[in-house]
Amino acid sequence: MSAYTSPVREPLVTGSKTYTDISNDICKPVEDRPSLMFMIALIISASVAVMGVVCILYTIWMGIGTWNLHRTIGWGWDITNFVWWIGIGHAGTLISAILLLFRQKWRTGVNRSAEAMTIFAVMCAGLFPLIHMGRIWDAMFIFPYPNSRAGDDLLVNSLWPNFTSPLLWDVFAISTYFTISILFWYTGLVPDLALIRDRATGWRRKIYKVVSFGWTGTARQWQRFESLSLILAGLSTPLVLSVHSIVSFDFATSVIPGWHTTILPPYFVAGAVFSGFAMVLTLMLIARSVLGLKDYITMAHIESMNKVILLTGSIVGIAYTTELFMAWYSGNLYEVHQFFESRAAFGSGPYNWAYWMMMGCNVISPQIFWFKWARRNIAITFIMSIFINIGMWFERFVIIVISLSRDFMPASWATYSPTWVEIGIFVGTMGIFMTLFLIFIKVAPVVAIAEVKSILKSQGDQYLAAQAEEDKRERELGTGGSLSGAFHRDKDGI
Amino acid sequence: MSHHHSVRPALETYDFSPGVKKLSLVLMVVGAILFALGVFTNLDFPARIWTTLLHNSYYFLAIGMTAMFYVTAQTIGYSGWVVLVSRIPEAMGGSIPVMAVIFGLTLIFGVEHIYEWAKPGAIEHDLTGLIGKKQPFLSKGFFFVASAIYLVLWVVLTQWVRKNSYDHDNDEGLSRYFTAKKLSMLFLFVWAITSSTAIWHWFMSIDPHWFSTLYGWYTFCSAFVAGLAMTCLIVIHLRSNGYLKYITDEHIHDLGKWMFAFSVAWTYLWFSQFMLIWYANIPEETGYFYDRFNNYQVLFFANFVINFLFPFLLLMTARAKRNFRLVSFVAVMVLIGHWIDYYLLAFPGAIKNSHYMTSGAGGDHHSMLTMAGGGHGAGEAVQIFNFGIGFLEIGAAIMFLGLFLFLTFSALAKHSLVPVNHPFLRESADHSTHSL
Repeated sequence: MSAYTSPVREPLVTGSKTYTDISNDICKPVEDRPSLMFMIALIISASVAVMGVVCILYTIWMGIGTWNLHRTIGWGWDITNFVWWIGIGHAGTLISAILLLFRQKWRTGVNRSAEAMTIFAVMCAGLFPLIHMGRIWDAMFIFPYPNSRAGDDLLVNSLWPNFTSPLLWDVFAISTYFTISILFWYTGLVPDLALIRDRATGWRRKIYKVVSFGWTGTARQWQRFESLSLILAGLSTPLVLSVHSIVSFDFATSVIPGWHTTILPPYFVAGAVFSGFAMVLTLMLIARSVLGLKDYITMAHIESMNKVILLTGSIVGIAYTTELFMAWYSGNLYEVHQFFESRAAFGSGPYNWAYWMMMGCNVISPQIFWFKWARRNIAITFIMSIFINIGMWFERFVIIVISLSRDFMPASWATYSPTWVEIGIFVGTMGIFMTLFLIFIKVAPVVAIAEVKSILKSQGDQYLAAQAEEDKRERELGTGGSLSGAFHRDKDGI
Repeated sequence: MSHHHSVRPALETYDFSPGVKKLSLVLMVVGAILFALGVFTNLDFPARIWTTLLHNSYYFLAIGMTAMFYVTAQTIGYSGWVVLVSRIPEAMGGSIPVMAVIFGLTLIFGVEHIYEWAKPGAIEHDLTGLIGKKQPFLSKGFFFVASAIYLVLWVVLTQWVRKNSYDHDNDEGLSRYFTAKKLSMLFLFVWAITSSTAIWHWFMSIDPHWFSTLYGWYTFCSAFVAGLAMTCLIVIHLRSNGYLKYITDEHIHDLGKWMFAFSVAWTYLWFSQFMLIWYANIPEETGYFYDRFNNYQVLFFANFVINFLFPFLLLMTARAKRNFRLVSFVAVMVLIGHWIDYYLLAFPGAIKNSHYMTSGAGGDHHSMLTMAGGGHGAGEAVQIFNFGIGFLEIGAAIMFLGLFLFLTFSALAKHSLVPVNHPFLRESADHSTHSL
């Protein structure tokens, strides 16, 4: 297995870990009793979540009138939050599917937690369109099943969803995404849950026995496991692109200036990955420190993630400026108005500040990651991750609210600010997300143990150091360059 | 898997094989004859001649550029497996200076024949007033200054990246490796911006009333697939002729994955652009596809079928991507397919422009009327637009292909096929798609 790894590469597991060390270190947070700090964090998160649920119930009870939406701005914080949460989920899918294809081994340090974030973020996201329906008890109308909603003749007269609406495509895209993500995540968890089962006693052992599906780690089980993982990775790969592309279709299929622009699908995908990585960094910078996982989520991991952030941030930057250019180039009065007066030109619209919040947080500030010292600085990384979380929320606010606020008829121009209920629901979803995440780190290994073990021999610091020694020795023997022995090493059976 | 080789990859030189040299020269000569025949029969139709040159010189320039994009992106991405392959795209990058000169000359001498906005009196003739609104972007001064900057930057940066890589062969240290990273970053930064802005000028402005924000990324992806296909073909050719014996089906498998993945990515961008414009149905935007859909129907669908269905269906399985013949077949198909894609970017607009300027009285309305398919221009439109692809286009394609191969294989013969001092070389030689 352990093919040659160039010692030029930075180790991805540090501290000369053995397989046993890996099991002990990563299982520790699950096996220890919850700390006081953990309990305080959980209580705060759960309280915020309960507050959010109260706001949701209040909205359902009283109606959408509890929000400040009106005829001009029919989508406000609700859909902004929906797109923001969906985007955050994308880091998990990118790491587990695309980075697997690209054989980026640093993914093993963060894939588990990022995939968990995907699932929790999609759960938060899905709430918003449901609540926004107003009559949530009619939610099943979005599903196409034979029904008698419009008449007696079951198939002829029944009422079907509008298949030409991107809003319906969203229902399929997101439910598929959620299903595949949860399967992929859980499949990966099974060997690790079995490990915890084997180390546990009493009632914990019983629970982990049930959730690990009788995993014993036989060759046959691993073979099945690998096949299934590959299929799920294959299914996840197009989902990375399709989900946020279809979310972007909600806007881009319209004729609203600011919404209708062809770059939107790939730009939404890049933005989603960007915001997802920011959220992964926000949480994992804390988790690796609190849970003692610095040898598994190393500076090399953080630097790699910061590079992804620089790349995707610059991609959205190019998309923003392309939109500005095309608005001018189109010669279309409404496009020019939307992109310059409503958005970019300071002092000409009520929301110019939001546009520059977006630009500042998403495009300008991440440019600091061109510098290696910044990519490897925890404080800067943490601050940047918060900036990006904010900036990407503003991106969706800019697209949704600013575009709607000034449409073709000046008579209908309006502004919008949220009510306490809308703010409460948004903050509440953060509580839900954090609560789920905290429960997750307490019940499951936050780093994929089996996957980290699989890269130990090729990426562990002691092995890379030994390889460097060997290469050096061979160079001194004059057997030729850094390559000597490339094919002499008997790797079979390792 | 590549266990137990008794030798390791060493400096390996490639002699420009007489067969390939002859082939590239024959292609150039045959292509030139066909092209000359085409020119002779189209002397009254200069727009077609110049657009052919624009189309082909840019297509092959872009293949070289995307090959360099591939190399530099892999450098930034710490890619180990690709090292044994990398000298091939680097050699393809060796064609860039010559192609850039030909392309630049085409712009200089063909500008008034290709671009409606560059014709004398274009602003006054344009009833929509849009060309006037797009000043100074659509003016010759801006166009030539910007084009010169792009081409100079592209030539200088790509050749610098290449030189640094070749110099590494005589330098055992790691400094060239780190320089490669910096140069790659610089090139990618410049390319990320200029690949879009340049194509807006060079191709999108052929239809001066139309615009699409996705255009830059879409056209990049199209050229990138072509660059990958050309890389696959040359690697397989060399491997089949006894060179690069450390390149195994593992490497071809990975190249096949790239071609497969970016064919799907191209389709994704094609669909995104087409569907959104179709769905929103705004006349200013749909005119572009209306013309292509109605007057170039065969090519319009061929573009989609060849560039999506062929790679998607044929390269789906792992076994297919390890089959040299199948990968070569798909590579040839998508090279043709993306040539058609670039044809469809350039020709419909350029031909309409020439018609618009030469149709005399009433012609002023043509660009708008024929776009909508209405008015008295519709009947004429079919007759004039539907000329398809003839000697001229095919001759030019063959001629430029010959030139491209000649330049690439000449570059290949100048340096080692193996970057012997690259720190990831041994990873590449050990490469297995199954290893973790």
